[in-house]
Amino acid sequence: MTSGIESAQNPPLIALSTGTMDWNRTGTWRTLKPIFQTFTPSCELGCPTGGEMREIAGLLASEHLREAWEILMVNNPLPAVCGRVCNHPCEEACTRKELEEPVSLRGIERYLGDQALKNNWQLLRPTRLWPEHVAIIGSGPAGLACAFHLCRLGYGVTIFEARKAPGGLLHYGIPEYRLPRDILAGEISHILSLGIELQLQKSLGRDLRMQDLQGFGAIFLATGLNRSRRLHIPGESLPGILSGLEFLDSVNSNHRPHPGKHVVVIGGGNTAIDAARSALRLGARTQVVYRRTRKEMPAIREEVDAAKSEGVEFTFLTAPVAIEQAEATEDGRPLLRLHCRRTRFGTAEAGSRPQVFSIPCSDFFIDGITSIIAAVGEEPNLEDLDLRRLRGNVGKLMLSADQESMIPNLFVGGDLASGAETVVSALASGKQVAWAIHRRLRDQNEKIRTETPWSGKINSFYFPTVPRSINVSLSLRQRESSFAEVDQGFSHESAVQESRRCLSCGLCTRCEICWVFCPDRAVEKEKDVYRIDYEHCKGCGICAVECPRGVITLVEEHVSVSRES
Amino acid sequence: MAGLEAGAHVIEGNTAAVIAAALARVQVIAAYPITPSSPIVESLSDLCAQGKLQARFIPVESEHSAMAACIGASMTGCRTFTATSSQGLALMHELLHWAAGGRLPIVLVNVNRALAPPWTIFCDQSDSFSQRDTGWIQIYCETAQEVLDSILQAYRISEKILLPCMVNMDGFYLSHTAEPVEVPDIEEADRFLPGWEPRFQLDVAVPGAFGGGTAPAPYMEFRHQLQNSMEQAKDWIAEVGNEFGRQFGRPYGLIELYRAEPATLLVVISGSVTGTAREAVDRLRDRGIPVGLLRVRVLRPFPTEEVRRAVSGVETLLVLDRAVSYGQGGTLAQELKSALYGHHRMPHIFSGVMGLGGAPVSREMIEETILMAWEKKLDSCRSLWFGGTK
Repeated sequence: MTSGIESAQNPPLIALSTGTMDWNRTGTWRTLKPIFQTFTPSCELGCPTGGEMREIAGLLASEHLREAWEILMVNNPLPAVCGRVCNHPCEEACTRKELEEPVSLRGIERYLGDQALKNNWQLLRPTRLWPEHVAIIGSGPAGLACAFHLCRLGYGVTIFEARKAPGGLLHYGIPEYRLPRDILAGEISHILSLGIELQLQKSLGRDLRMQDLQGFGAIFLATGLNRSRRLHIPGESLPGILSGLEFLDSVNSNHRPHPGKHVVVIGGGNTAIDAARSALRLGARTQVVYRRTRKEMPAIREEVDAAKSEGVEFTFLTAPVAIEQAEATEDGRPLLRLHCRRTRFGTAEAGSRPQVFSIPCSDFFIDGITSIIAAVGEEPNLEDLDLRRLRGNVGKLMLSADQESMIPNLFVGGDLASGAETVVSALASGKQVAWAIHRRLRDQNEKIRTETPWSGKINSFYFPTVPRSINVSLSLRQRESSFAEVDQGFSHESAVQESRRCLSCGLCTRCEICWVFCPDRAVEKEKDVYRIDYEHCKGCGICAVECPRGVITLVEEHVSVSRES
Repeated sequence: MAGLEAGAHVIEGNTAAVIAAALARVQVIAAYPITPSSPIVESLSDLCAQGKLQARFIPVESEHSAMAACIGASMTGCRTFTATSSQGLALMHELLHWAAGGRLPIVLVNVNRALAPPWTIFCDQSDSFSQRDTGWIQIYCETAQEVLDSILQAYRISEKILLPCMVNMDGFYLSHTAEPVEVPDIEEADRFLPGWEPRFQLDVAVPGAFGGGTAPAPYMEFRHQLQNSMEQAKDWIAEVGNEFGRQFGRPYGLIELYRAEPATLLVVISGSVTGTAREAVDRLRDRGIPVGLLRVRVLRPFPTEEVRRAVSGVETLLVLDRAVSYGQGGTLAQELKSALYGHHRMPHIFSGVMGLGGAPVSREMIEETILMAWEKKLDSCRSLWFGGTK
């Protein structure tokens, strides 16, 4: 047949490309551009000290225990302590919650802290770089953290502690069944071994005056909240009524108190729960009275769970009205009677807790009480410190963003500055002040690390569910009369297994998914990083959608075209 | 289903298709079930699962994916099979073009079913007739035996010509009706249809990509080759049909003539309804009317030359269609008009449309329509629709 088309000699039947399509600069089609970024993961953003749990979990997962511990120590000098008592905001922020349960980051931290103590891992003693010496008042978590970070920055540090032992609330406030004394002592002595001087039984206002500290380059005041709030109800001063801090202090001072057979604890914070669980261990039937519900309790969730399983009774939506002395006695002590009233919630304003009102004519009584422990919060005691002048006109502490007071070079931190918070927020405060003092003394614009918060987007398709590892707990019977540690922590295997549950949010793990999916072969694998070949990337966004860890972001081309390398 | 053993079995058209696929030793089957072709897919899936057929069955989520998987498999040099009907074939449409342009010898059994709406599962040929421009060879079968035989031939045809082949059978009339079928011995089938040695295929040792971007001029070159291959296919289809006849005693051509020498009027028809038309022709012959029948077995490539030779001396053609091109008329009638245009003795060509969506077509209806054509009482510009509810 005739044809207008001249065929080539032996033409192929179908277009066959044996070369590459690299000549086709499909990158010119692009209007959106994917970029690789390392983001700060939500756990790190959630941790007040900025603990790099993603990196730590990654190192533990590959059995690099010592390296993991060293990264842990960069932000937190008390991992074995924090790994036991922290309220773990990192876990609250953990993305793994979307799949099943958060990674037990606290358990990992504790495991690494315990390994360091067991194997006597030591940080190198820092070199003294600067002439200044800093005085730290108080050896609680804030003071210890500040001392540690200043020492590592090259300053001389002296801690003044009012009591006979260092640790502040960690020592006198937290019972042994949560934080064994040898663990606390071990971590404190490691911090001190870096070259920090500790002077015990030196109380500001009693043994020490502000004038005595004039030779120091800076002062950090971190004496915590050492005055319990009052109940402000009739009968508060009767015998048999004591504050939560007083009670825990005596519990932790090795001369165990005898609270009697029926203890009522008023309050819903950690002090209340610690007091209740301690009283239980001292043989009392223990009852917690709280004016809100379980959900609103500021105490760490797991501690409330443990208290409940150990047999502490809870009476919610109840406020104390008065305390009366009964005629009956026990062991020669008059019994107490707590006059209570039911409460209800008012309407909540946006962003705040709902107000609580007592319900008229709902009164009832709790009889036969041997001790009442009032744990309704603590407040600072600046009067004893002879520092009334730090208060401004409104009666509150006046502090700069760097926590510096109106007296130059006098910094205030921890619970004293922020009100009753947590161990980890005190550690963070100490760290923040250490860097603030460094900037003040060296007058440098020391770079503060900037964070690129992670979007929180994972591709859950790539992550099968793995249940959270379970740590071993002391049996309920063993807990009845013993202050032995309840939580036995992770075994090595569980710790490593748990660390492998970390999704490495916001960090490229070179998983190859983008490389596999890219229709233009525009993802290039280099030795340590992946790179995008923008000559060929046409901005389809498949990589960004598929990326399991959300490290690829699509940006408008014109925004970043100048940054193209 | 009947066993695969050689010999005569009373089986349905769907079963004949399954046996043929097994005799062809297909290596990959990717299919999605749809009435009335579902039993083919289900049986092949069973055979693969039971290990009776050494083939990979790829379950997919749509006919589009089924054809995509067939294309991928065929590119690696595998003998590939699928079956579908109606909406399923329509969903494959995009990839039908790809399979043909990709020069892949895939064999597809289409069990003809009308397209919705109104919703129906019954037979007409609109589904496959409307795919005539996709570059596929199309064979229309009259019997279950022909289904079996045509599938074996289809691989011989396709693997030489390198174009895909669609073997069509009427839904329910053939697919679900049992009739005697001679099943060939597997060694005989192997002798007729040896393994495929592809001229090109995906090979990791020789990396390459098929069907990539092409400049306009080469594109036209490739498409011209496709047209040339379709032309060449006519001779090869005839040769394969003859060879099949020599080996199995059942020869096949592109068209089939019945009582046509000499005939003044020829009924042109395809598919299973041919049998009914044969009876009508016989009855009219008995009355002395010189009527014959021309069955179009191969629609693509269209057997223009054979048709032109067959109609020499015929005054009238009555083309009976089970498919319509809306706005024009019976599809097969258009093909005939197109093929015969300029013929030195161009016959009258009348078009009848019948049996859409499984509407019954009786011998009486066909006889009556033939007589109307014989008396030239039909409009040569317009298809006569008959049957239905009237």
